[in-house]
Amino acid sequence: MKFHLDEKEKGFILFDALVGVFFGTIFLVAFAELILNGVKMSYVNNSQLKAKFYLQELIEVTKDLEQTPSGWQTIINTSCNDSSPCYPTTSGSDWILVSDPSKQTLENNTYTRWLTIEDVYRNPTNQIVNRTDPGAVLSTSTKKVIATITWNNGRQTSTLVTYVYKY
Amino acid sequence: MFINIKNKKGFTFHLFPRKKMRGFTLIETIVGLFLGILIIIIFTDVIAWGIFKINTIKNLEKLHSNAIFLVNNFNYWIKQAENLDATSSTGLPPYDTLNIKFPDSSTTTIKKVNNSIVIGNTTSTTPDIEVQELAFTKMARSVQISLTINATGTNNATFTAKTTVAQRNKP
Repeated sequence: MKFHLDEKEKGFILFDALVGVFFGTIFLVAFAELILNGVKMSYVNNSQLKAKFYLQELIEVTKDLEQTPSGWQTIINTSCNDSSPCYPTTSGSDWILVSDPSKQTLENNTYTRWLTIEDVYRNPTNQIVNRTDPGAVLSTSTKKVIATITWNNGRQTSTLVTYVYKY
Repeated sequence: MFINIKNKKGFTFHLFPRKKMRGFTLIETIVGLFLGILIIIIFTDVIAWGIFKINTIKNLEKLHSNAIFLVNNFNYWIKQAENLDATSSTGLPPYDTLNIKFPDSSTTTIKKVNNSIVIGNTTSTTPDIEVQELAFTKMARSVQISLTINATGTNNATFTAKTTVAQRNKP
């Protein structure tokens, strides 16, 4: 009886093992990459959803303020422009707007949010128009609110625009 | 390859040279086993890590969908409210119950019951999430909402939402 390996079979196990390790490595790398991308997308969704809620709050606060005479005074009297944006804070059961160029940071500087308030112009038919349009008159009962939030070190931004009206 | 040797009685023996013997040496076996075990450990580790992460992603998705659903529901009811009253069982903050009165004098309640949120008589959270915190702060014409939820039985997925909803029906 002979039990020798033929010349052709020499090193076959080593070759098999190398091929197996090679394909195994490819599978593991692809699997890890897939999972990492899934995790990344999930955390992106998480940040975006939180940002959406924080941004919604800015708009809702102005919708709270527009409904009371003192709230309306807050809207028209607080300096909320590009050079000095505002953010809302509470004073008792009332919202107030704080004018602060450094804006409002949330969750250890993860999110930065602010709002600006602009004048609104209307034409003789009461439509909102640009300031330079013919017949444009400053509206004393309407303001344009622009709410902005940034996150991911400023790489992502979301903005909402609405109009508030004097009740 | 082998060598034939005949003894005195005429029997023939086949002698194999030592270097041509089949099988592995002890060192080869140990190295092979070591590498095999190492590969199995790495493979198992990566797969286990992947399964853990997949579960985390699934849990986060559950939390996100629940949070969106809840905040949309809060929006729907609070915007219709004529009057609101935030309370708690102790009478002290954080207030986890919101009593809502509508212009037609009907009422509903949003409250945290154990680990779920009940709106009216309907449980509005799915069984696979737990509500850790629900707090309402009544403002002049709006309600501040703070909500913390996590996946049932795990601590690897938690979501906190803070927002405000303004009333639109307050006279």
